[in-house]
Amino acid sequence: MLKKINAWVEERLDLSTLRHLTLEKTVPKHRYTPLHLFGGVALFFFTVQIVTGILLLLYYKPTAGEAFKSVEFIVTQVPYGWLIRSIHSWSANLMILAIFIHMFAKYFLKAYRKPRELTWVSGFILLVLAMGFGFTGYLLPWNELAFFATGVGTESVAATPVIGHWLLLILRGGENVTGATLSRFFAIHVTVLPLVIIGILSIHLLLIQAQGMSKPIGIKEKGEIPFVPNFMLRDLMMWLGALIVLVGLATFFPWELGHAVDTFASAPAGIKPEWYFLSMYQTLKWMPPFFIGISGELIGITLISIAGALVLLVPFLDRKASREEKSPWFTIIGVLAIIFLIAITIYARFS
Amino acid sequence: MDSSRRKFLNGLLGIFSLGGVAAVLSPLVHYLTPVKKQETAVSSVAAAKTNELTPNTAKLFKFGSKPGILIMTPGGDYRAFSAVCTHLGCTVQYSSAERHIWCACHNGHYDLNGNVISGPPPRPLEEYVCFVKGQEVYVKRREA
Amino acid sequence: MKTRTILILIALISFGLGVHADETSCEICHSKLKGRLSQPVTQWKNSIHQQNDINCANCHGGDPSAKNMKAAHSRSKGWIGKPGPIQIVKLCGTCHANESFMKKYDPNSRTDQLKNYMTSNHGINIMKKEDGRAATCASCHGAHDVLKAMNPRSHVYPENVVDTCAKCHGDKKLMAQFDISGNEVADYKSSVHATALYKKHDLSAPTCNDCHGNHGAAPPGAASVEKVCGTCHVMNQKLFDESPHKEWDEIGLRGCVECHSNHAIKPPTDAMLSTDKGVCLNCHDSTEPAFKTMEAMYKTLTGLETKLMETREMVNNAAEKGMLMDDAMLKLQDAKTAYIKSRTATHKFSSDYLDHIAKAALVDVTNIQKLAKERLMEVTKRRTSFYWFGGLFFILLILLGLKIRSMEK
Repeated sequence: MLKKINAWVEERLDLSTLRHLTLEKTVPKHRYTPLHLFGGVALFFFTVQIVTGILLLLYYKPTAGEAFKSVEFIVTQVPYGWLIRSIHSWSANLMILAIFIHMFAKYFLKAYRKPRELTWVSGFILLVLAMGFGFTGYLLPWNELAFFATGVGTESVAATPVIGHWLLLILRGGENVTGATLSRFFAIHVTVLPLVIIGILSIHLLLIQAQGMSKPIGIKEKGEIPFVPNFMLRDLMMWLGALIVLVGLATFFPWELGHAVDTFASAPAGIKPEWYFLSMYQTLKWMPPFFIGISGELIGITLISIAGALVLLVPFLDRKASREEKSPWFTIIGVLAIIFLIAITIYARFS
Repeated sequence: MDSSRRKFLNGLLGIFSLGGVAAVLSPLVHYLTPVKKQETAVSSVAAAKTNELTPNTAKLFKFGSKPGILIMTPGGDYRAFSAVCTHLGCTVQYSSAERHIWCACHNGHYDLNGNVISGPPPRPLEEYVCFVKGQEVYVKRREA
Repeated sequence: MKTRTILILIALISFGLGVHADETSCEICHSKLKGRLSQPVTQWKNSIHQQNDINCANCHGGDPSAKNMKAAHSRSKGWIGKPGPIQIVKLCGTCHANESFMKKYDPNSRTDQLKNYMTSNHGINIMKKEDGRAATCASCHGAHDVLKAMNPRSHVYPENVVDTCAKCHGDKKLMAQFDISGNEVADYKSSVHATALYKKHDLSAPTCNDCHGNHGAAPPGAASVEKVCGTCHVMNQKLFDESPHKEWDEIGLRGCVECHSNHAIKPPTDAMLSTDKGVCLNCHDSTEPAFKTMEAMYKTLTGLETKLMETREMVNNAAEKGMLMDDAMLKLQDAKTAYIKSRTATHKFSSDYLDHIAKAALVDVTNIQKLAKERLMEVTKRRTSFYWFGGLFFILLILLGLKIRSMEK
């Protein structure tokens, strides 16, 4: 029976790639192999986001008047609504965390080197998109914190030379954060970003399938393990673990609902963005108001953009690795970057 | 590893996988089932039905997490205020006999504009906007 | 009498002609002088009198158009120099007790200040006993920098008036001469009324003049204390009048003051009814039925307070665990109302009445506790479900691990 179906499909479609994936794809086995699993974890959280996101859409209403009430309705009236909503929020954060771990793992294994430059570049774009999801999604419950944090977050766009103010208007749909901003963020969050991210994600995954897993420079290999089923079962184990942690967090620390936006209230003290924006937030905060005639905010944004560009271009900057030579300087820079990011994030969180 | 043990392991895996799938699906099915109690209208609150109040009466309603008071004045128009007394935060009430708002805790009196007539309250009551739509009287916060 | 007529004439003429668009010679010369001789000009320039063209000569007399000092300070032109206390009162009264004159400036202006002042201890000392140590108009309102009472810079603005009174009443040596302790201002500043005034900037909070009167300042007599407090604390007064204590004034006791004191009124506490520190013990001893009433009221109030705190904690606990408690918070508001009513109810000094009032709060509290318990149960339910869920998946995880091991052996 199975064979018959197989033959029927085979007559119409070329399944050689799939067969290659299931029968021949292997993963190099060495002591860093488990680090390859975090990409899969990020993918798992992304899947959870799609499922819970669609579920939330069934009850969510994206208008200034109804948004908060509809989220409140979801978490109080809809059966398991509290769980779905809490999972969506937690999974978003865990996804970004998983992407960071995945990215640093690949960085230290120098997996970005030739011929996998495009995998790295597409991965970096995925990180930016994920943060975009976080930024737009944060506003959707239309609570006080989100309202003011979005005000601050969008404000920094205005520092862009020449078109800054125009960008701000486009983003906010007006001079201030209003119901128009909510509509825009909603559209970006549920249509624009998903379309783009699925495109880029497909490229990212296709590249991995086409090129296979990279082997770290000068590491002793202990052979290869087949992707299906051995490596996939390991992936599955990670996913189950991730699911347990996710549901546990969502149950024991249900994501707060906050208070409905009161546009006339003054901003509550201690407005801070989500943790993955804290390092940028702090950098901007540390800038002097003016430095040799240029606004500090512009300098900060330029610095952040340069840092981003450097990360994006790592595969092209690390010439040694692309010649399959060790590049200890990049490892040192990576360690320093991690220490810096963690330190500044902790400082920003508790200052 | 003998094949019977392997079979046992596979069997267990199958059963628990089914259990896992059920554990994930069951909340989803519940979530999709429509709720009987539908959500209420929003930025404004339906404070009362139009036939609920007669002139010179009032009722308390829930405005967010605080009480509000909706009054039909002797003249027949609607007025709504925060029902939290500005003195010590008691809930105020309407006194039909005196035709104004009264707080029983320390005998604070407010007129039908929310201003203090007598007693200890330091500030007027916050006034809300009322409007009638269909069969309901809606109340919302006054915009600046 | 003569000066008065002249002054009124000058005032009326100058007002009618509006000649004061230009500076008077008083201003020109005195603004060039130093210290206390120029200060009056600066102070007057910010005053309500300046705004209404009442100038130096209207009070001090003399010739404001004269070119030299001698002619300006001419006694024949009515110059009086610095007026003495009695003169001050009379001078102010020339205009401020003249209804038709004051109406021109403000149709609602009162003109009874002088009349009231004459009845006050200040007025009696100055005008009858000619004792210059007491306060005249200028002592409180300022001599030259006179402003409307509701102007925040005025010496008699609610937030300033206490310090204005304190200029004399805070001076213990001076007050000792009148058999007044001089602690009143310090006491007031420690009171709940001062907190409302200075911390919350609640201008309706009473200051000195709200209880003592302003122009007719005098301590309220024993019989009227309760009425004075009752102007704001109406409910307490009403209950007090229904209580066995209603005839206190007949035995010389001073209503509210006996328990709450007069100037240093503190926020009331339950301890005021406790069996060891209760205020009732000032008069009653433990053998009297009053002691039993106090004991019962204390028990009801503290019991209610504990219950309310307990309930609030339960609600907060459920909220912290992620349950939405808006409805419970709303009901908590009702319970708080009932609790505050119960505290007021003590002024009837009847434990039965208090229990009757407190019953409403108890019903509220019980309902909220029920609600909070339901929500906390829901939290437990969710967590238990998670244990099952997590357990199931954990076993699956281990089975998968075993599977991989058996596969790769």
